[in-house]
Amino acid sequence: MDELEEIKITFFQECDELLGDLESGLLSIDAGATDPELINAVFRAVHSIKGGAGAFGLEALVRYAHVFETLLDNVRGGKTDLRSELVKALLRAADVLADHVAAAKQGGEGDAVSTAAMVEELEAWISGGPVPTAPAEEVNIEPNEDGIVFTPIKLSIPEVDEGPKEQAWTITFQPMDELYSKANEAGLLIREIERLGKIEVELLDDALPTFDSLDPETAHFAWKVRLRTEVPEERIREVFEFVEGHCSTTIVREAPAPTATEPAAGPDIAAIIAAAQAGDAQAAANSAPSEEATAIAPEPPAASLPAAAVPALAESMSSRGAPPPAPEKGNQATIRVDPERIDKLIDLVGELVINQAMLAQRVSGHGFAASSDVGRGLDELEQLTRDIQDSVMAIRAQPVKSVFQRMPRLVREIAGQTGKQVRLVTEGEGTEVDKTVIERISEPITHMLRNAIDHGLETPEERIEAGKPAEGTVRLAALHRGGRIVIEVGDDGKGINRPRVRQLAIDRGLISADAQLTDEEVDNLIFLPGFSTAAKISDISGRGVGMDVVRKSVQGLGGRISISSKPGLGSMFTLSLPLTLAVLDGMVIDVAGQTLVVPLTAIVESLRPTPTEVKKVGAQGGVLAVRDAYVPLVDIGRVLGFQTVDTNPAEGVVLLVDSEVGGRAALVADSIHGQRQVVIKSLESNYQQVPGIAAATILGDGRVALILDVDALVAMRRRELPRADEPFIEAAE
Amino acid sequence: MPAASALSVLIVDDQLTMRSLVRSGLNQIGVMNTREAGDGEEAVQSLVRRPAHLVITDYNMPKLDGLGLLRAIRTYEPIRNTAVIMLTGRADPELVQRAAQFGVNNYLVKPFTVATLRGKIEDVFGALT
Repeated sequence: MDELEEIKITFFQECDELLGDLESGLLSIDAGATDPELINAVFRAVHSIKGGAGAFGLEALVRYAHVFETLLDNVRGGKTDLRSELVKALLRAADVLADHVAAAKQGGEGDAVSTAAMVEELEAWISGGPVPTAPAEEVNIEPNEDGIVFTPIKLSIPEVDEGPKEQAWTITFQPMDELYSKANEAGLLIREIERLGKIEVELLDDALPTFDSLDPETAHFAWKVRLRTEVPEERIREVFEFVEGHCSTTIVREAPAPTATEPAAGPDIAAIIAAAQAGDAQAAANSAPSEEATAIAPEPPAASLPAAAVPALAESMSSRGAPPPAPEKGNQATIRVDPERIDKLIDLVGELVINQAMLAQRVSGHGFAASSDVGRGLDELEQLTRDIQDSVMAIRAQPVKSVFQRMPRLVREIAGQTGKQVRLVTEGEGTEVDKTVIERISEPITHMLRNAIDHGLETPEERIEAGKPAEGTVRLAALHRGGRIVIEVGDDGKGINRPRVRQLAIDRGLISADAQLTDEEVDNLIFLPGFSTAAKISDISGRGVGMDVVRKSVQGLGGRISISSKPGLGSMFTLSLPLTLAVLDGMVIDVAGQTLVVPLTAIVESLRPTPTEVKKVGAQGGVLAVRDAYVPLVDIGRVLGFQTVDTNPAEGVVLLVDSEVGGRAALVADSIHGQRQVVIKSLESNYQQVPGIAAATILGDGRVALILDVDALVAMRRRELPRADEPFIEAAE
Repeated sequence: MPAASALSVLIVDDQLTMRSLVRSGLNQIGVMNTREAGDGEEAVQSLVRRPAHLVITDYNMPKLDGLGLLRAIRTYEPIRNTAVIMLTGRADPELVQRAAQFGVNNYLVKPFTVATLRGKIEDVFGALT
């Protein structure tokens, strides 16, 4: 790829960050923050977008950003008062800027009409006459004479190079007993050093006792290594990082090359900066280098700096109360990697997991006990495999912040359209989830928020009447719970109107008129296909997408969604998703000669029922008495068409599962093999969608096994029953 | 005449985009020895640890801005002979005058071409080879 194109990609990535900073800064100001640095940061965000846009010739973006920037500059300089209405206007201006950036990313320009309106509004805020439109040279890639009177100050630099970079070091190290007992080895250390440059190794065996008094458990040798290398001292020290405390090491640079200026002591950055700021302008001007005092010394090698300087720096920085240098800004702190490479790595790790499982199976098939050397080795391999997998997953993990920070704008828009007053509170933005999950949760969250504001919250008048503050609160939170990520969208509105939901469901033939439903079941009726509680389909919630579609997309991610509600107090959507879409903890079961996998997250418990606990209902079907309740039985084999007759649950195993549609259900299987981590292989991309099946996997013995979609399975079982609600329970009672 | 390859340059900007653009421009004129800092404070730290011949710095940055960096460089003896070129977002005579007061060697208006960048450096060091 063209280098400029690559930088352009970086630019748009940075734009996203900057737009996020801009919005969160404005929101803080809106919430009453008055920190001048906040205004500065907001200004800087727009300024930086403009600067980058100029470099890439994105003229429309530059022109718009320029007007925005001018107003922010006025605000910063105190020329324009930061009133609440102004902050609201700035927030809208930020939205338009985001549109412009998005359009530029696609190679287009922002919408001219909304831009013109916004520019007009911004200009109205800018006091002190009309806004100068962006001067020609700002968008011109070829800057013309800029009209500034300035004489460059000349300097000369020595034409010689910076001197020999290669240094000679003498490294002496004497391992202690612990080094060997921790399974380290002097040879490994020497090999590490050899990677840094040319080495000469000398063994120091003076301490070796006579053979009679030799204790083989004690370390006797020391080594002296002469190293010629260009790498800095830190790199050499890194070699000994892992044996710190188990090895006495000295690293000495030989015959230091003559250097010119060398700081005498560890300089204090904070003091330098403070001195500069204290020093008056005149003094500073006097100290400007003139043409006579010019020659710049060659760079002294990094290692020549007293070792104490670095800790001293750190101390002086922190004692000043300044945060330590932000590592993420440093150019070496992060690397950008093509996502495809990571995906490839994930694929390979998946294969490794399968391979490890196969190996384990074969080894146990050959009669090796778990306590044998081979068995223990396999245990370690399994642990390592899991660690690698976790580490690889961690590379792809991203905080949900990127999704959350798009939501304030959405909330503003919906609030504007519905005439409701809404405050959005977000929590747990730092919660990390796999990138693929991040990419796909934005839509369900959007819908839940729309729903919460449109249906959940009351109008300001209604709220005041109900004794609540006019402004409603919508809370968006992310948290980790039991190996899954949970996203909650709660509101403090009126809650679900249960009688109405129930009536609508009856009217639409979704439930029978005499169905006995718990409050929770009524609430969750809104997820049924074809359900909409809005009396008239509004613009906001009724974009042809009901909550059933949302649930479907959530299920596609292996997730669950539910709603709970308290009349008058509000409702809460809870969305639970797996942290990753690549692996899954599953229960391997046998059904009618087929090996299947049930996602562990769906299973509540597994049990072996006695014949008396099984109650037949009708020709096919029945319920299982589990403690005080009856749970409908679902025969996996028959629902999936592996067999035509139900397995007798008393002769097999029953897995109690929680499903979104039918509540609790009892899946009947022939036997259970055990719990295993499986790698998910998409069925759709390799074959086609199969009802009741979520995906496939490869087992340790190399066979392909299908992963059950528990919700779909329970739903399929319900559909084959006559049209009545909860017939099992009624029949059982 | 100094060799471009002998120049060591510290690029200071809070935006990776701008740093990359400057770096790419420098590479195109043969200056390969570059390193980067994300703000003024980081830049001072980097310079104290290892001097550079030239600092190309943005003006508007968090923590310590370009002017603050310039003043710090000119105040601290071991690095005060470092050349400084200030990047400005627009042709702002006032800013350039203030920077000149503190001994800036040259300024560069964004957006810039590689030729302009080269010209601004040559204004300071003479023609590059």
